[in-house]
Amino acid sequence: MSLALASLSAPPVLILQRVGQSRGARPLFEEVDLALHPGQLLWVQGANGSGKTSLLRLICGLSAPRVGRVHVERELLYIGHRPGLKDVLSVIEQLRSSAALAGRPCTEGQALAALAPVGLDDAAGLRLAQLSEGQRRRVALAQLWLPRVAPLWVLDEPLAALDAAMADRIAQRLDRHADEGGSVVFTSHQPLPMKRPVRSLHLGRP
Amino acid sequence: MGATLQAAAALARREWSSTLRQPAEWLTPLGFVVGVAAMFPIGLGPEPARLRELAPGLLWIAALLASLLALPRLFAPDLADGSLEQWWLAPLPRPLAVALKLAVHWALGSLPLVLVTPLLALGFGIENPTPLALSLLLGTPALALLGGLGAALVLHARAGAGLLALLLLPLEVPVLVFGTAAAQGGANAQTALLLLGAWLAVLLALAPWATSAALSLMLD
Repeated sequence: MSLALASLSAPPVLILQRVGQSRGARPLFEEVDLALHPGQLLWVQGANGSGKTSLLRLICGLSAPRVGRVHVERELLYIGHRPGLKDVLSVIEQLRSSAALAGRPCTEGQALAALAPVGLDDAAGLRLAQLSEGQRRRVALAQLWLPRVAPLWVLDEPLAALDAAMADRIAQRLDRHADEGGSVVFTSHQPLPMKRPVRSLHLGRP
Repeated sequence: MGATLQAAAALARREWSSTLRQPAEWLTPLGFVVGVAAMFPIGLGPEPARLRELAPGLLWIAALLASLLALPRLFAPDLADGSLEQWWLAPLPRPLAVALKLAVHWALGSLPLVLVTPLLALGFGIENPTPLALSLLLGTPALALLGGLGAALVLHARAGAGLLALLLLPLEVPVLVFGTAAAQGGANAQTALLLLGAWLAVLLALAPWATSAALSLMLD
């Protein structure tokens, strides 16, 4: 399985070389080669259980590949299925805490500004336990609108539990991030309505 | 360095706020020890001299057992909600993240015990509760460090709580031996306190690394 290397002038932010991973004795994927450059978007596709989340976790360094090498050049932001939300924190506390934990603290004003695009600026004081699944997802995704966010985004099913309008807004944000020289790796079972070309990587049987 | 400090402060603050807002998490050990202490005169009889003699050891055993109560939920919620992954991606050394988590766990779960137990000791007629307080001040962080390691190792185990007790109790015997010897006062108390401090220093140096390695295995 291979993606053609883009002949872009900027050095890649992410390189995978002959990467293979398994879950127990079951192989998930083999021989994944990839170079992702600044400004590129990569859609990782595959059926349930094909190893999409495992690939993202490898990129983040949360697990080690069975074979091959993963090289990440830039700082990254990972928003997984379970993005570290604490029920007892308020929306704004959660967002500011996530930013500070990533070493990029933000002011209350910046956090409120990041909550506005996801439609939660009027819910800033609510505890996460009071939110729906879709709203909780939005809290995690509000990090994408914070200042000084990492250049490489790794997003696992960013559209899960979101409505169509919110999905459009996320796609626009990813487009803008790529326009600004950022890179994104994401998984999704549905296409994201992005304007920029999106590279894709299929895991498992097509 | 700046990002590390900011991340460390954020982790400590988040742990503090979220634990403080779940009183059951940190009041249970305290309630357990107070409840058990209230049972002593019922179970042992009300004779003051006997209670005075046995109280330091019994309070220490109660504190040790109380330290086990919160351990099954020490890392499990963080694994389930993805917080553990966020710590691992934060720009701070993983052992430091573990040490901060355990420091908050100790400060909210065990420090109240250290403060309250001397009052209980006074209630049992112990005239000088300082040795007991000092022994708990050095002993409970050691229990928290050992407990963190045990909780990390059994994170995916089905019968985690039972396994945790089996795993930890032998490791906690030295803490109990030195702790009770120090708490009794007398000629050997200072030596016992020094040995307890040395054991705590060894655990401080090793346990966060071992615990973070165990948690990394659980995340892999």
